[in-house]
Amino acid sequence: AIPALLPWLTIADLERFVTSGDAFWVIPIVTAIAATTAAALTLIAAPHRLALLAGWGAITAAGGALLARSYGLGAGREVGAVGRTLVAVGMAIIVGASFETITRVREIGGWRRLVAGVSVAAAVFLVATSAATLPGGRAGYPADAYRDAFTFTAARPGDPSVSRILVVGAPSELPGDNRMIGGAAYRLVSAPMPESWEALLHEPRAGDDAFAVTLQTIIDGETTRAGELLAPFGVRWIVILSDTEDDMFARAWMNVFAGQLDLVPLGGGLAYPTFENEADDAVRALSDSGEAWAHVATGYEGKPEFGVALEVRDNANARWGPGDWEQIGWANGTSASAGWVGFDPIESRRWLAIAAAGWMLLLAGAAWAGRRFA
Amino acid sequence: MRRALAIIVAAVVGLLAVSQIPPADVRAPDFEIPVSGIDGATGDPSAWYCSWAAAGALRDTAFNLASIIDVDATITLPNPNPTEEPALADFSLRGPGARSIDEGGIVRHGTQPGIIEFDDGPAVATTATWSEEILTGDRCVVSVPKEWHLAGGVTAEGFTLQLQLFNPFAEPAKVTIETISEFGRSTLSGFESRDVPGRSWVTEDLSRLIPFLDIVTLTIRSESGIVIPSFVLNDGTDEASWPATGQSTTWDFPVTSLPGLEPTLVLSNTGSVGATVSIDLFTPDGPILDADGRIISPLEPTRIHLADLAEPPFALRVRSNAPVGAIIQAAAPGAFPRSDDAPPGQSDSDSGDDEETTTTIAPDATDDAASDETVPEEEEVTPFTFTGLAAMPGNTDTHERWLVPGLGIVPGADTSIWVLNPTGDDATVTVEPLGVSSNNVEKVLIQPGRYAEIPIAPLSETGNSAVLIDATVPVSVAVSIAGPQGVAFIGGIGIG
Repeated sequence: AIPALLPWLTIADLERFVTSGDAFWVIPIVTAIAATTAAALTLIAAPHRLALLAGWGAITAAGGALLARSYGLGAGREVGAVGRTLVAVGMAIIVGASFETITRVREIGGWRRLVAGVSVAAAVFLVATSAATLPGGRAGYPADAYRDAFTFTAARPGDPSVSRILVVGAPSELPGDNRMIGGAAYRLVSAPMPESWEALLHEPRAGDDAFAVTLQTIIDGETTRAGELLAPFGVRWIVILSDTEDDMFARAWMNVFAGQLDLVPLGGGLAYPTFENEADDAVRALSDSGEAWAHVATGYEGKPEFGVALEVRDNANARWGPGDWEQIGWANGTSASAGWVGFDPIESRRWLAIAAAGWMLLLAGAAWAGRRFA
Repeated sequence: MRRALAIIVAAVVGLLAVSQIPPADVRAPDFEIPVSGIDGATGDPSAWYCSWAAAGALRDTAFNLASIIDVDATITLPNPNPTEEPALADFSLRGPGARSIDEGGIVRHGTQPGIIEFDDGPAVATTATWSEEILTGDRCVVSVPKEWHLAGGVTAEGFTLQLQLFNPFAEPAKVTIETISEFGRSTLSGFESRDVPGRSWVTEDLSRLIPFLDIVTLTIRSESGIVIPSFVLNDGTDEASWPATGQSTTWDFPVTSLPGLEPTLVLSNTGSVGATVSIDLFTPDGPILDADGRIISPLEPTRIHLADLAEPPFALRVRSNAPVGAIIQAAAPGAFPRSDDAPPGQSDSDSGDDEETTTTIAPDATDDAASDETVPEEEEVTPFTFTGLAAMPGNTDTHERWLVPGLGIVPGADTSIWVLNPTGDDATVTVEPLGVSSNNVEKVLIQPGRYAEIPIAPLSETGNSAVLIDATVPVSVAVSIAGPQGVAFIGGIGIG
């Protein structure tokens, strides 16, 4: 399977992969006690082979917990995810061994049966708590907290997909990755609704740095027209996410934006405090004739105009096209003649990906054939 | 054996997991909106909020702009109907330079607060409003805190006090106003979570809401949004307006009175403990340090009749061990109610006699019959006096550079700059005119602990409507405008 990972292994920044974000899983104390009880008692009461199995499960779960909490060792979000997966696998082994132990009526008797009964009770608790997430229909994943925060953009005048939303709040409140400024979190997402591939953020580039400088200028109180400064980044709306009424982050962001002359707070029972930018041309791609282009998939579409330049307000990269490309500050200049612009794929990587997909199909076919004809 | 080993390994790894240190728990961001000093300007783009201005059939207002460097300025005048677009006017200033913009030339809507935005700085703004009967002016406000203090209100008989709440931002504001008067502290009726619509203003007649109060201090807190408050006081002869401020432990007043006017100082303390206040006077003969000292209790705003301490004119500094609010007000003698303790050996009736005598200095100050009897005798003492009402919050800081706009712009009125040198060193003050010409730079030497009045020629003669003051030591600056319409004091704006 290693060749299937080649496109990723040859391109990805592995160091960033394992260190980006924070690996710290807060273990629910009741669950931890139940898991420890189930593991320890199964190890004590189970027949030898089952006990060893439970032992491996306990070591796996404990090792997973260590990985999932290894922020202090420099581990990142992905390592944390691996750790939590190991915890789940380890717990499954312990629960399985525990249930199996209580069925070994001939081998387990006396005080060991009593201990096994307590172990099973703890295992039942673990299964029940896991099953409790099923009725919600989200398998324990967080609720869809952001739909209410962003859908209002579709009801505003104009095409929302020509603009972005600046989302700010506490570090734990934002969808996906976030960037930090002054201890608070922010990120840009697409309107009217962010795409799933926007969840992870790349390393900051020229446009991201320029945006951070702009945001710092606004935070420092050096302008009373934040909207004018945010418009070149395509920011038409600002949503302040908060979990409680006395959220210090939300209050600080409110103070930052409430004193701006060209940001209008939107009422109407929105889920979160929201401002709309009154400044002109708060769009993410703008032609020289003043046409705003809509964000479609990973590119932009708009009115074809021959001989008219188009400014694409994304990080400067020569792969934006079609047509001639020029760097405009941190953004891109290209042509509006085709009616669309996109990011030209890197051919070598694309071929690697296609080859990997082919190799995966070949492996699956070989596996099927091996079972079918062996 | 293997069981024990598994238990030990799992336990050790589990303990290691439990002992891991979590990321720092960040409970609040490390930024907040910086609040500029009320009398300072920075080198950044800025917006100045002029809460009290009016241009109509009877009144004219000038927005007075000055800048050190080339700047573009935009004046925004919100429409009285918030749903309609505001009036906008763009101007350029070649720095160092100054302009005085007639509000009526942009729009005449009557009472009409404005916003002046500069795209760079240091640049500053003040207003002057006048008619045939009144003259007033304010330093516009550049800071926008959530809590304001407005001291010096009077709703006693003969006074009309208005509260102006200007919300220049789009977000509706919700404010709660607390009143501190001689009767204690209370929430202003009708102003518990009072809404002030965005890009709009509310003018409330406090004389009808809380009548017959000799001294009123307001604390205005914004629960949401931001407002710019100011007081507008009318005593039947003139109008005075002044913006809300914060509180400070030091207040400088380079000007406290003009001939014919009696200065009073209003002190208020909205803290929880008493503030020990000392008053230093800076007279033409030298400083009188600790001319008065008293404790200002939290619920007892105090008016001090400064003429009881020394013969005006003089400049003044207030020092306190806790933040207090301070306003200077000058009016015809006897105009303001007496609520402070008279100095030893002087009764209220004594001071009343003094007021009568002093009042007669101004030929037009009063129609009191008793005054008329002494007119011939007093005219020999003071050849020229002013009538009217002026008020001004002090300067909280001294600076070596000041931008002073709005000079010589009111027709028929005299304008003076007042410079206080509160230091122990000589101050050499360079006064550079700004406007059409920067020639005729003047240098003034001010001895330690003294002040100087620098008369300014009318704009119509010089083409200059501002000065840049550069001093060798930190000084404090204010402006007086006095004419047949009335009098106005305007605090200076330091730039470094």
